[in-house]
Amino acid sequence: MNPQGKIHLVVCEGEDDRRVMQALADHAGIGKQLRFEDYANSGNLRAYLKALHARPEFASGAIVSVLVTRDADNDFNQAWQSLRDAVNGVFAVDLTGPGAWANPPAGPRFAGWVIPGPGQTGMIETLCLEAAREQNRAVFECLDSFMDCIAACQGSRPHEKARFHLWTIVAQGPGAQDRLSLNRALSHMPPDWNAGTFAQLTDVLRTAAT
Amino acid sequence: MISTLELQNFRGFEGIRFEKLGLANLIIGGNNVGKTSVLEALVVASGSSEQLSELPQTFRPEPSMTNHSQSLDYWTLLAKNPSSEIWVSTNDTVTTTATINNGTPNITRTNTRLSVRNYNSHLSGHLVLRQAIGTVKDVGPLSIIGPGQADPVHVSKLYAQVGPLDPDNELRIEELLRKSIDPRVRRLRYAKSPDSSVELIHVDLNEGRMLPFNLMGQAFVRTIHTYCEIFGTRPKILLIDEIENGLYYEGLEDYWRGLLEVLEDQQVQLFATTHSRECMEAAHRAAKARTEYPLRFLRLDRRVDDPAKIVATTFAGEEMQTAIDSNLEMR
Repeated sequence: MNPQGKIHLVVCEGEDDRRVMQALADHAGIGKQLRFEDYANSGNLRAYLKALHARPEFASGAIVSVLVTRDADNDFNQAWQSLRDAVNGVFAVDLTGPGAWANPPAGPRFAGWVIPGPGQTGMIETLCLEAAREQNRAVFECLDSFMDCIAACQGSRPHEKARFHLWTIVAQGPGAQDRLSLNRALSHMPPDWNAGTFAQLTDVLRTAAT
Repeated sequence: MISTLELQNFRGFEGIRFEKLGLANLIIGGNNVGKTSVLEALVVASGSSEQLSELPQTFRPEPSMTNHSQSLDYWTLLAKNPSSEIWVSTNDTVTTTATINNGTPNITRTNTRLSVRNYNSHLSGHLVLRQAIGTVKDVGPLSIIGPGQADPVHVSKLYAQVGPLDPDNELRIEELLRKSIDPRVRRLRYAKSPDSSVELIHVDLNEGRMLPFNLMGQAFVRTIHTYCEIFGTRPKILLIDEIENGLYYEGLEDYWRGLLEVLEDQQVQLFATTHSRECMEAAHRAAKARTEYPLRFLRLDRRVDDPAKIVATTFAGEEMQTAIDSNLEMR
């Protein structure tokens, strides 16, 4: 909530997305202007939006903007269409394209965003990995080769979260307690928030904060 | 059953509309946002002339004032804009309008066939039916349970009506009390204590002596009052202000289970106010157990950009479940 009591809401697919976007917004100096919430997984998006529509902050007009995000996973177009249908189904607001704000006659303005970015496949981990690649080229050459090898042996690519998990080996200690999830990795090996891969997401968060 | 309720120029409301109402409707919202005013509007729309006359004292008792002066103030403040008419509509078919002149109301109910009932006050301040043209099909009769402690004699007299109407309902009240309030309850009797001049409900807790029910605590009195209103007066609508009053939060779900079961089989529509998140969640859990989800939440909010403006939101089980799962505040 900003000092005027107006809420600029960023809706994230899960806890990992929420924590990464909150950290990115903090780095960009807009963290206090935004409120981040998550809907646990993409299957819950419509139910979350229906509950949002019934919440006091919505009815009272305290929420002035809503940026709805989700991961592209393996199909950007399908993810975008699903996000767009959910927003349209609950709020009767038609989103024309990622990052474009719709201003309905009443209620908050809405935008949608699919991570990692327009036309791309992947998820929030994809952005974090790409941000780390520049400074860790040697490690990523090994990692990419290893993933290619597994894909060839198994006939399908391992999940992006598996690739991220392998990357976190670089920073984790010997014990089970030292293994890093994305959430814990944020504090042990924070991504380079200034990397170009975060530029689009930072820009869309800036538009949500104003 | 009332499926839509619209109010204009009523107390703090410029204009609000609730749609898709349920068998049980829980009115929620912040302080001083008009929850009790919705109950008052239902009395204006469906109450008897006696209930209309008593309305100034029903939900807002102020013992320091005389009934007459309080009544004048009450009716004077009923319209948000005193120079305009008050308007209450149920199901878009029965419209109640009220005008207040010098603190006295003139209330007219009209249905779509232009049948009319007009109530206005005579010298003693009581509202009486002055004119009846055709038949205005009331959604009532209604019963009212206010926020304070009920009069034990009144509740006991209601109980005395339950058995003659249907003896099984006496047993049912005992069973409902055992389930939701006190498992020790063996039976109830309408009787006079040797040291008392009035007849009251007495409770057998298998402790050798039956106790007057009003010594059993607020939750017990309120619960028995609720069932006596339903089984003793057979209303179509039941209004309860601050329904959670006196109920311990661990017993709320059992209370709601019993209440929803009775509302359903007696076909009584409930409108109740609450401040309590625990009460909302308990009502939701109990409602989920019914074949058809009977509960609606009616919330009132002040607009942040215009705090004088109050808006209404209705939602049901899906939204409430998501809010519980995600720990979201819906009050």
